[in-house]
Amino acid sequence: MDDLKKTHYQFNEAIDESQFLNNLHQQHHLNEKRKKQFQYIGSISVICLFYLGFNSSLFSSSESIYFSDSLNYLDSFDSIELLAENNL
Amino acid sequence: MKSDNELIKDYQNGEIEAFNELVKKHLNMTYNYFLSITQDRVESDDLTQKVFLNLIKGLKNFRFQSSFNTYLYRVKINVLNSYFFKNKWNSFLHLDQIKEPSIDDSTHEKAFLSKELWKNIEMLPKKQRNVIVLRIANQLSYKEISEVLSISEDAAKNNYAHGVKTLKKRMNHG
Repeated sequence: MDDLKKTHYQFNEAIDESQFLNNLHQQHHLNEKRKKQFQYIGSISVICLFYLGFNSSLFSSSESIYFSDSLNYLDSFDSIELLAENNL
Repeated sequence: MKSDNELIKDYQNGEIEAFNELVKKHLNMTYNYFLSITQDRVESDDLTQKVFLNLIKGLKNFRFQSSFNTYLYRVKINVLNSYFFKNKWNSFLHLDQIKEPSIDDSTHEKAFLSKELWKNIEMLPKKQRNVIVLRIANQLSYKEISEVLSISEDAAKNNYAHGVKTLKKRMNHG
């Protein structure tokens, strides 16, 4: 213990208090600002993801409507053709 | 002059000046603590700032269940462990080779020996390292160390003994 204690060199320097406090508070404000920005970006991303998810489900449903409409159209086309054949 | 606990209560009531007073009380001690270990003024300044940035947030919810000094030792140990962890990665990635020492070793033979000691302490397992840091740099008793690290006194003594044994082996062979 004594050997290690003797080997340990204890510095005794003074630091500029007012400058340190200025830097400390500046850094704290910067950290808080970054934290808020990060939270803001996070919430925006979540909203965007929800929006995209919602939109993609709408898109897929509209796509299915479009698809069923096309089928109806083809059906009607066939029936017109049948009618035309019958008439002939 | 107000006690630490009184200053913390004032800070919790919104008085930022009370916090500044607390910083001034513990600033030089904290800075010299890191300077003695790192022997680098820039790093020590940075580590000291990290300690007080932790306190700005942490003291708002301080519940006075332990003394402020115990709390401060815990914060310092955590910051120091992060520094050692960062150093490990830097040496792994060889980023530490470009760094110039801020203390002139040739003029401080004792500082040089101390630096060698801390290099070896840095390589110890975390539990042993924490006990040795608190015993040598903070000069705490085993009882105080057990409170800071939330371990038994016997565990603190055992970790210290094992750590010292390893250190002596390394320093004699190195």
